[in-house]
Amino acid sequence: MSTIDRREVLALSLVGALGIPAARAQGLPAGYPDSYRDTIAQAEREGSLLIYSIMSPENWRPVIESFNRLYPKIKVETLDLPASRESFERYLAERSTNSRSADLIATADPGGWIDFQARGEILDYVSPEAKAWPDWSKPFPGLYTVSSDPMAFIWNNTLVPEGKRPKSFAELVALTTANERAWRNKITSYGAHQVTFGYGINYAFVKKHGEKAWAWFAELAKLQPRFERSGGPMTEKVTAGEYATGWFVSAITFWPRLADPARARILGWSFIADGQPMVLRGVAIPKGSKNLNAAKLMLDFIISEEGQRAFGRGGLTPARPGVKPGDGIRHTYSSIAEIVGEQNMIYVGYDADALKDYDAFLARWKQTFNIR
Amino acid sequence: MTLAPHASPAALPDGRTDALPRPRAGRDTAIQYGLALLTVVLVAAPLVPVLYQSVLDRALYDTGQSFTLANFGRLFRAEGFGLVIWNTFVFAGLTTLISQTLGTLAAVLFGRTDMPGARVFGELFLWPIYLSALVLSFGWYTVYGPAGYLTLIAQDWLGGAPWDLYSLPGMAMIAGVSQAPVAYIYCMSSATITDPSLEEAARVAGAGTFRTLRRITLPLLMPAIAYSAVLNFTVGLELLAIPLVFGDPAGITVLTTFLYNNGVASARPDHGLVATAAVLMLAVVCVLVWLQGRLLGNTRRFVTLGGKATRPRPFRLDRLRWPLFAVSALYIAATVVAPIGALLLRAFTSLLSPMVPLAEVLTTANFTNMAEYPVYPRSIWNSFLISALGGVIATALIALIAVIVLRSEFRWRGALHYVALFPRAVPGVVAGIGFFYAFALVPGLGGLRNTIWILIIAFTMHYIPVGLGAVAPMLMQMSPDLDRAARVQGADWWTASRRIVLPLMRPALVACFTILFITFFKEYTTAIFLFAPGSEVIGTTLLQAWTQGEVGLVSALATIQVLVIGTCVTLARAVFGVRLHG
Repeated sequence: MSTIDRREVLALSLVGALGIPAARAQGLPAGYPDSYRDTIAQAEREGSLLIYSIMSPENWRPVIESFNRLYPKIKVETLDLPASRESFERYLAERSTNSRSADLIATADPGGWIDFQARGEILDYVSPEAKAWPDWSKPFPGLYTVSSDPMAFIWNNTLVPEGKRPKSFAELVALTTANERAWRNKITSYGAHQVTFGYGINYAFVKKHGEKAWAWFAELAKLQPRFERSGGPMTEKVTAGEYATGWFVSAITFWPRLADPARARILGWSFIADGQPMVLRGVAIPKGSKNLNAAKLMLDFIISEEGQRAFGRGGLTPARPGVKPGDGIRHTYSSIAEIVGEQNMIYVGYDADALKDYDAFLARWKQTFNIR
Repeated sequence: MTLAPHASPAALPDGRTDALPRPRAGRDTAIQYGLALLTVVLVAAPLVPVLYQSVLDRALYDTGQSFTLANFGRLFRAEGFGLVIWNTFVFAGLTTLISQTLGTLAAVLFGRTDMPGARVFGELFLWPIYLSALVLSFGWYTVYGPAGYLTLIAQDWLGGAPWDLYSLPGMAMIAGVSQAPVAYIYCMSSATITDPSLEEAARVAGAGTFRTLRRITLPLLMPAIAYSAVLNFTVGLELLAIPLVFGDPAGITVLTTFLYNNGVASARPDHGLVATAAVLMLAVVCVLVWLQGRLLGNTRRFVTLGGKATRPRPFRLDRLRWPLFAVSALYIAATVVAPIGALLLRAFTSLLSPMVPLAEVLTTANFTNMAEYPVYPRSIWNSFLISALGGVIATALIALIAVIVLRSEFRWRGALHYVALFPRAVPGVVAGIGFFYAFALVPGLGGLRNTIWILIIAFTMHYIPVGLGAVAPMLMQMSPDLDRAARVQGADWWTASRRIVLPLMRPALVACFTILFITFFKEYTTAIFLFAPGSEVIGTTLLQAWTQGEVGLVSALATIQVLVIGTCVTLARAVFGVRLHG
């Protein structure tokens, strides 16, 4: 169970309470236009905000707490949906009947975002924070990035002896090949055939490594991996020993759990030196948003330095360049770039080819892993 | 109360029972038509949109759809769909086989023999049916999963566990155990109505215990076995939790997980395919329910309290008494005590692994976490509200349906009865998908989507037949002379029903409410497609927490569910003397 250290939250709230008012003496974040005051006033009149996401309440809590210190009059509700695509589906269904739906969508589903953009459902909103972000993080007008979360290796320390723990994909393949019989059904990852999340990661990985990636997959396939839909069960099952190791496991699902010392002794992890997938989580205001101004405030806050730090404390990996680890943040885009090198990072982003190649890729994936 | 098995009000060809005065027929007619209409709307609401979506070329809520039959072709050509069908039938078939075998054995052993502790075992044997398959799966996972406690012990001793839950037989084992109480209940109630003189005759003729069992008792149980087998097969087809928890990681897909994967969890939700598969499932279950009706005919319904002079004599086990006692104790320990116990233990630990000493991981953090995030207390509260409020509303509706169907001269009462029983043929997932579409389709209903009302409506619809099952037998036992007396005095049908029939039905209504409370509290499949922010229930948060890998939270929530249902069952039986099954 992931928890945020209570003292940490208290300490940070204190810092926030002392530090923020000075910077916002005018009631406006630094560098924001004066007209933003109207947005705030209207948002407070709206008074509520509904967010659809695939992030859990723990991920959101520091963000909402910090946000509510700035804008206490806005009641924020989040709905974390089990599948990344569901945010869009729910929104579209609800919009067609004019019932209440999301004011803001935050989900890691590049293909879903591409479709959503093609439907013309993304509000073209230029955030005052946009300047601070590089182009890869702003694929379409109005779509911004919440976090860039690394997909890492995890293993069970009692099953994978020290010195054998993989640091690169090549090492993972060597390790599993050496344990071929013992580890049958005991390795795990996301299935490209099950969730878009898994498809995006594997597609991007193959795009980087080409045939070598397929050859690696073929080696792993001999152990008959079991595919899970999200990182939580992978973490839980590797800890329990059901799986020995997992690859491309979303770091945000296991970092918070390492706060538990008993678990930290069992669960080991590593970045992937020869190709570190980074999943970009998008955030945008859908055109049907009923609380448009509240949504703008939240979006601006999420991509602001302070909002990024808050999501970092909630377990996500801040994507805004320049944000550094510390204060309860384990890693950020910048710190991972320093460790694995920016050239080894694989953006799981908004690749139109990924939509086009879906069927062909899946066919080969299923054949490789013998999935019927 | 007297027993009047054949006292159907339809005694005269003109539709009237007697030459009764018919005062103020207008009010009666209005109530009867109104309620019948409500029932029809309720039952049709989820079905019409599913059927409609299945012949559309794109999502219901999209613009510019046109009619097509291509979805059906696409479904059957869909890669791996043949395997899905095969898996579904193997899973349902094995589940039925296991549950019927266990249930029948238990009914004979606990109900008909002189085995020590038989009554207590019989009570414990029923427990899985009070809990949702979802909660049971988590319990089984903790004990018998690949890294479960007993699995690891078995690996140490035997070099490998003899079971694998991530397989069709493994899944069917869990489902079979959780459905065995159904077979047990049917066999037990059948055993109490069979004529003991047949067994006596066999004994007098010199047949021993096992010969009597084989030649007389079991054949007499056959209708009950066949009937509950069809029921369990249907449940096997509809089960979502077990295939989702154990089948999915191993790549085993059944029809429900196919629907879940393509409807809720998919990268590319295909509404046409989902609706078409739902229609297919609906069709299969319809056939099965029809078959069930045929197997039993209409005879059983009327035999409730049998007028028998003697109780059947228990079979004597002699030397086998204690060995069978041991086997039964082991069974109960392995299938009821261990999974629930492990679940409770997991709720109070941060992780459960033989690699870590228990003392290091004991914690109440799962419960404090549960209390801290609003969604969890809210889902518990919502489940309460839905079960209590929904239970009352559903009971009221069901009572009125029963009174109209069984105690009125309403012209369409036969049709109404049929409609009211139809939801038996609607799997929970299909009802959920259907209501989801219905609420997406009908303007003005959107406002209900984020409230618990949508769940109350869906649950009520889905469980009308269950409620009727609790109410109807009593109504059929009650002599129509009572309300007829009122009618003779000049009361109209509504007054007679309100002042005479319904108050007399009070015990049946309490039973109906209790059964619905428990059922609503553990229901999750119908809710999966319907819950929204603010209307989460324990079942949906359990599944969400599971997919997030929050096993501690799952266990804490499951513990709450077990506690509430346990308290409810105990109270209902101790205070109200409610029979929760049969």
